[in-house]
Amino acid sequence: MSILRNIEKLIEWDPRKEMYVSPFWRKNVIPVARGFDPDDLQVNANGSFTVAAAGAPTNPVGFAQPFWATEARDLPFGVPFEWRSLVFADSTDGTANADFTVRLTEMGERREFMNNPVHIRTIAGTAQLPYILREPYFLPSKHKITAQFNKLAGGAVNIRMFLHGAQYYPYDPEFMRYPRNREHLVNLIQKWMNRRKYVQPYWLVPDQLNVAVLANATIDFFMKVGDEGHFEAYTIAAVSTGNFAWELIEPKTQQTIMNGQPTQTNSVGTALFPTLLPTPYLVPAGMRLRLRLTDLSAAPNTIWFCIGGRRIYAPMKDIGDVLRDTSVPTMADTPSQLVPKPLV
Amino acid sequence: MIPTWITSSDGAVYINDLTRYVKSTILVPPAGQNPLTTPAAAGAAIPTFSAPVVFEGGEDGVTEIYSLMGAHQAGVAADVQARLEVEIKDSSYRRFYMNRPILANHVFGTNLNPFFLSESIFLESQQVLNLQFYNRSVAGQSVYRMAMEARKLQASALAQDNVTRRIAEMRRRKTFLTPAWLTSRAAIQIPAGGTVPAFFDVPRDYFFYIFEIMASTITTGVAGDTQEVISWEAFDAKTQRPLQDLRRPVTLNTGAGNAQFPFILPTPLLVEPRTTIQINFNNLVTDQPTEVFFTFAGVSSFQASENPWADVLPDQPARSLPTMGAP
Repeated sequence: MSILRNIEKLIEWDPRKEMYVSPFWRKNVIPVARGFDPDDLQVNANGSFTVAAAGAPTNPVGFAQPFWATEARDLPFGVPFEWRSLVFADSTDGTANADFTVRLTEMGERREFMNNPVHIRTIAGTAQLPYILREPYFLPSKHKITAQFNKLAGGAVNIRMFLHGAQYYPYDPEFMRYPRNREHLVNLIQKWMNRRKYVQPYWLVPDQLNVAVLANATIDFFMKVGDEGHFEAYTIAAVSTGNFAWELIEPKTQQTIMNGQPTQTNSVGTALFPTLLPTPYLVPAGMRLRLRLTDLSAAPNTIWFCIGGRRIYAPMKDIGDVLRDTSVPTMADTPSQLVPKPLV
Repeated sequence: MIPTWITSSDGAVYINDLTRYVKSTILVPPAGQNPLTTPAAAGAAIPTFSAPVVFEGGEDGVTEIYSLMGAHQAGVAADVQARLEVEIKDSSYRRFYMNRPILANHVFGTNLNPFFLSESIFLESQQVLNLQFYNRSVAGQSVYRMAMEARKLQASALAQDNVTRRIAEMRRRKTFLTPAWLTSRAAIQIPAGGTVPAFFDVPRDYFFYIFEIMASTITTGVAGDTQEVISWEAFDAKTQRPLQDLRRPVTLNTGAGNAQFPFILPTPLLVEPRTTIQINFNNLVTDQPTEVFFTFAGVSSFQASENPWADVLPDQPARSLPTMGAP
């Protein structure tokens, strides 16, 4: 059973009251769908956004985290948001055929979530099968993530896109009755504020923008992790115009990740059902991967290949030191391969 | 879960004796009701209801149900499949699992993707669940098969301390916690291109922990956004905190699923008793009205007579009895 459907974290048996009780702070963490910025005039009146016909990328459109606070002591916190999954819907040519790329950036801190634009169907699912981030991203109040779309083929489409997640309200008049609960919620927020400096969701795609493989050809492409942080890979997803086979090689160590070239049908999913790596694969900072693609369709093949995971800006440490230290007590440190365990 | 084997510190492995007494089982309706036939509705507002269907726990132990599966027979009209509703109640404890009949497609998953209950249903030996189906379509009769996956704690295990303790814990737990579905106070019909509010009343006797959202629509329209069909804005019942941005309503494919693939909320929503969730629905189809079936699923916690909030923190030592865990 998905841990998101587990009530054990919400209730506790109180032998004095002889009933189940819930920690009060939990009431102040609610599910929220963060949509396009309500103040962005590019967005249509019904909430959709028009991605123009193939040609040029759109202007960036934002997902803005609002700010509310009722007391001075709440000012540092506002109402932060823990982004956990990504969904989209395409109203015009159908979700299955939507054919555009997206580039996500956090404007306030200029954080990039990907090294190049990524095909939408490799990073965003639907409400039935959302793309669950391998690392939730904590978005403080007054911060903003922007998305820049680029239609690859066909005419204009109207799209909707939502960052689903949990919104934290560290203020509530009733916290006066449950002071330890407020303290706990604020502590959680502070832990997230710290953790977000070190870890963020990330998607790695080839350095070259349009990956096209000629009929029956084999071509190598590179995927550069960059030297500012490590990359931990969890999922493989791709969209292509034809069947292909692929292989990952670490040029630095000359290690191949597989003993041959698996075909796309055996080893690559989409955002709805991404292929899960059997174990997370850490690509250290500064390394680059060689992606070898072979066309199997006997026709020119455009391939949008994407590795999903998280970016880690942290020094490597000896395992003995790690075990001696007490890490931030988040479940996300030991994520399941199915669904990353949420903090709350 | 009850571990199948136990590994000792020197690496030796022992089979856990309890596993001999815990068995998987699948419950089905009595012979003659599988499939269950429900005649066509007499009129658009006059549903036809089926004979009551009884799911009975085994007589040789206690049963814990954890997922629901169902399937319409091939050839049943699409309109019938889209309008078949079901109501489940526990006759022994007089517990209704839903505020009114809920679309069967929002209750039963499939064999490949069963609907997993957020809280299992516990049946004593020969205790029964009553199901009543309602066919609200005039397009034909419904022919429906259903089953429930469960596990059975055999009566022969009742001499085992761990099992009897587990059963004692379950009896206490199920006094408070049951699965629950909540749908709108009344049927929702949105005029072409229009907006209507709908209300979801959380009863006065339980707190509702919402885990999932399911929605489906029926329309004959061809103009407007026939892909997403509807959009909506929802608000937290007690605080009126918005669950999405202003003027950025979520839609069918960005905010809801069905029993096979429900939209699992990124974090559960806790709703207090005697509160009403208001949702404003917009019809994105511009030439025809749209009927909306909207369901919240989760767990009801019967403790409304007292304030269940507590100044307890999750990192405190657990005060409940040792548990073998939920499925």
